[in-house]
Amino acid sequence: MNDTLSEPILGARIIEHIEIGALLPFLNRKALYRISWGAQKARGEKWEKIQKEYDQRLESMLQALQTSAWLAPAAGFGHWQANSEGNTILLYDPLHSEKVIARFSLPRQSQEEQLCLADYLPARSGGTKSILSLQVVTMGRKASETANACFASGNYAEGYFTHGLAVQFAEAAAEYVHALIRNELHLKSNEGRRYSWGYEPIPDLNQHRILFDLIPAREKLGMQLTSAGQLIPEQSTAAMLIHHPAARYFRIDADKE
Amino acid sequence: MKNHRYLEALSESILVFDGAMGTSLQKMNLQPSDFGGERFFGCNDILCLTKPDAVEQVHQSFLEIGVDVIETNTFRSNRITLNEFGLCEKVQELNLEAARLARRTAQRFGTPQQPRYVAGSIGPTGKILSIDDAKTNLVSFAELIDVFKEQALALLEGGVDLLLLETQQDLLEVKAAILGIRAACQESDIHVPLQVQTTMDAHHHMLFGSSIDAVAAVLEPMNIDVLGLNCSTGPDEMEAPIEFLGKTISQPISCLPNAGMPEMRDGVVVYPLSPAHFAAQLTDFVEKYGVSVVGGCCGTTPEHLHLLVQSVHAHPAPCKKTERNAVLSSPLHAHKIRQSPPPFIIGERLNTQGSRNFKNIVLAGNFTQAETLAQNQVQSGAHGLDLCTALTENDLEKQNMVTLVRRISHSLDTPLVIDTTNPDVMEAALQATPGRCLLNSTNFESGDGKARKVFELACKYGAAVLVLTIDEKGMAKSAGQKLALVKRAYQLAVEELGLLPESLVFDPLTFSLASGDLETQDSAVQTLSAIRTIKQKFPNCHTSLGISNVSYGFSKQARKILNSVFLYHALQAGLDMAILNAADLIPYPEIPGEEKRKAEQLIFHNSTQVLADFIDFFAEKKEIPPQSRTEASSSIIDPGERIRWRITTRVREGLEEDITTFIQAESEKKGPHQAALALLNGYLLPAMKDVGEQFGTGEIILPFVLQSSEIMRAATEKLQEYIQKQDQDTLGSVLLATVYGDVHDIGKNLVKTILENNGYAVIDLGKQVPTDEIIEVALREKVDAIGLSALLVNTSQQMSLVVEQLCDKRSSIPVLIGGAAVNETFAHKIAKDEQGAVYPGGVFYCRDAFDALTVLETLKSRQKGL
Repeated sequence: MNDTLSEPILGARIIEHIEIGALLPFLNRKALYRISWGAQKARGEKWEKIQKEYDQRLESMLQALQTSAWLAPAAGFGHWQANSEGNTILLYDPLHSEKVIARFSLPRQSQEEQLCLADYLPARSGGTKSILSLQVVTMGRKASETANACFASGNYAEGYFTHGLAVQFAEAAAEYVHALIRNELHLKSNEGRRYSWGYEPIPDLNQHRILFDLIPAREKLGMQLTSAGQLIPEQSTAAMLIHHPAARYFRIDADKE
Repeated sequence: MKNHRYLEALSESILVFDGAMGTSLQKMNLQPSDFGGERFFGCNDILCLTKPDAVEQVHQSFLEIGVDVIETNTFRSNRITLNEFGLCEKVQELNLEAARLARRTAQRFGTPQQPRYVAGSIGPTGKILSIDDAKTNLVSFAELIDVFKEQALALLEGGVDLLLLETQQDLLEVKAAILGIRAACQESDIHVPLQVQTTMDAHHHMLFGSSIDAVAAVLEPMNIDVLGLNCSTGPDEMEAPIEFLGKTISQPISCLPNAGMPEMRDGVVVYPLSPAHFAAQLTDFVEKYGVSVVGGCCGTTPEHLHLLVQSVHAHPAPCKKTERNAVLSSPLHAHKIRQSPPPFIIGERLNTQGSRNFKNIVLAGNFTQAETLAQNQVQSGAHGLDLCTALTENDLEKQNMVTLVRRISHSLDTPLVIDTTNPDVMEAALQATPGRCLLNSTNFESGDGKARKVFELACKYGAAVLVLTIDEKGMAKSAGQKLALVKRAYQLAVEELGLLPESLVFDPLTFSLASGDLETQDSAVQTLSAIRTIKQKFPNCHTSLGISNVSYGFSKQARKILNSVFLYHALQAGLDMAILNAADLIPYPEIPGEEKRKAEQLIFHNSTQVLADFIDFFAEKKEIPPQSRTEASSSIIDPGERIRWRITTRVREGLEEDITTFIQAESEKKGPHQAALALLNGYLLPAMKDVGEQFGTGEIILPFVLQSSEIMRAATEKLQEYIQKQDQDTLGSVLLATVYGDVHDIGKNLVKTILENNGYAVIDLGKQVPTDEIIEVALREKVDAIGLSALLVNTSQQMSLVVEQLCDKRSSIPVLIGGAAVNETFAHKIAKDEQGAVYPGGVFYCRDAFDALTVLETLKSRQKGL
């Protein structure tokens, strides 16, 4: 299982500054225009018109970014040797490969294939280990401040566009770091999946605390967690990266509440 | 000397370029000493002097596996980029040595069966002309021409077979580079082909948003020999733009992708695509899209190129069939000259000689207002914008033109029409925008000389030209004279100077029918007949008319009708473009029958009697309301209605004045306080209601709602001057908060915007608000409702805590909830306690801000009913 993964450097690493230009290829314009900038399901001529207008808006916002840095993309990530033990993923200390330093307990489907994310890692009892990666990206705290300042001064549309762009850049940064990790592990560009806390297979936001123990996001990236385990600044995302080629997204229980 | 070996070979077979120079050198593990010291470490271009063996080894590795063309190691060898290493004095030496080295190595491998060619590589300077920003824009167009000329001269001297302008990110810089390179050929009298390649991101945009149709529109007419793409992405991402070029342009196409999308590994770029996939994909492009030059860019190894050589060398040169589409272009997109339905409308109002309003704007230097005017014309239907800044008051025509061209280029996706008689001003304008412009205009009034100058400019910059049928004898009146002038222009521009026929637009002139002058009585008929003949005899050329000249001197209403009717008949005759104010037109079918007949009588059967009839008829007619957004405002007489219209159509300019007018008029009857309330309740709130309904039906999208809200806010702020403070009437007060533990507040902010601008007072507690604080403030301020927002499942649980505590306090304030993780069912669930008793205030799920508005209204009417 996953024995194709090459031996990467283990442990956490920080990228203190990512160039906006490096993120551009990963920016999903369609998601930006339709989801974050409200074009929704516009079609035909209307969509064409919106697209043209938004192309221009994006271009001028990108130009403005060159002079005022209200986005400060940064990231932390790392690889750990890992096993599963039932519904739990175990991570090992990079220096003492038998010492478990973190545990993520995860839910299992009660129906369908009774899947649990832990299944994508080799069982501890089998004696082999695989690699699990973790990542966190942030756009910095100025992103929300800038959007909120617009709202406060009555520039509602500007605030909305600003917020939307930051959200999609956070997504782009997550994609970018994932691509970087895939590359480091010699994986194909669509191999493996990224699971963010708060979604069904990995619901517990408080596991961000474990993540922050492994990656020095507080110290090096100035990030924080709310009482409910949400990431601060708002435009940040964190994820567990499962590299197993069969990894897919699934729901835990379709009819739960 | 002419060296066209490369093009001749290309007409017979597919040619393969080499792969990556930079990444190949990197693999050799070169040391600072190889570069001539630490300070030059990483400057690959210097290796031609300090370690030529390394460069030769790369050339050789590709020649050995059979590529046809190698690129000189001079990608960054221009004065500006070399200056980063303090090497700007080495331009000549580096390029010359690099070209000679490549030439020598290619010679060793060349055979009569397979000659090898050397392409002189020229990359971008890194200075961005297209940004209108003094900080980044430290180089002028003219300076860039010199920079590229300097590099090209040395490469030509070193014996390259073609010059390759590659990895270009900015269309305006490409224009300068092409001019620089052509100047070098001219000066050295060494004429070689020019291949131009731009680079696009995975979403098919250049750095500043230019799409492939803009690239083709701007570069195809610029006297280049091969056009294509390289770098940035792998072949997969290039497929759509390559397909477009295959269908559209007449030149051979080149495609030199990276070995896949680059991926970063701790600052080191890695390219994932396998040689087999790379070769297969490019071979596919050769077969499907007629690509005739292939090769590799970053990350491509001899292995990649070896497979590519094997699979494409068997292919014959593609035979391309392209559909020629004449276009003008903004920096972002190309726009067809032949619109369907025609015409291509050129907005006429940015003209200092035709519009007093615009003249004042230019005199005052108020370019922001000029931009608004431009935008209004586009909104009323203009496809292109005429720009004229000539003034008798000062000699700032050129300076103003450049400013205007830059500003509009950056703010609108609309091609520009450069309206001046001065070739210097034309050239300055052409150097200020990356787009493809129409030059307006030239003629033969003072012989061939000036016309030739303008045609040469059009050839040089790839622009289109509008030609007026005027010669030494004056304006051509008869259809025959007009046609003779068209022939004369065609001969000079196309046959002698090599301008593409598609780049010519003829304006056969139209004269006022109001003059009563016998000589011009049938001028409209002559013009229509000329259009028909030009379209027959020169089917690739285009026609245009300044439509409103036909009605000069008539009353406003008569002009509108006559212009509209005349345009209809000109289009029937085959007219392609029209310079007019789109807002002033009436669609032909909508013109009343009698008006139509009177106008047609005048156009086709003019006489002194017909003219008199026409004038009498329209003397009695009232004006039909205009249709443009800006002018519509002046047509709405009632100021209240006008303010309402401003909110729903998002036209802010003049809002404050309208409010003052409304209050003054109404104050006489009821005093300013009541007048303000009447405006708020009678017009402002209903306007926002309309906006909400339009959003609900999907007619408009959220950003428009927010723009309407901005105008609403400005209006209510203005009203504060009149409303007495103690009696500030609101529809109710609402507390809003993003719950404890949750930092996502965009949803809450949007709800706040909509509620406030629909008459509610909002207390916004912000995000991460503890439950206790929500309860305390709600009870203290006696709010009418509480609105809670949360993004995630776990933070949504806080909402149920709020309801529980409200229950405990025996409160019955309604709670509205919203957010990605909640729904109707969740609202019902948290409204009940463990015993199943329902919270008396009610919990309401709201999908969006307008849902919240509806809930609040329902609650209010329920209260009234009690």
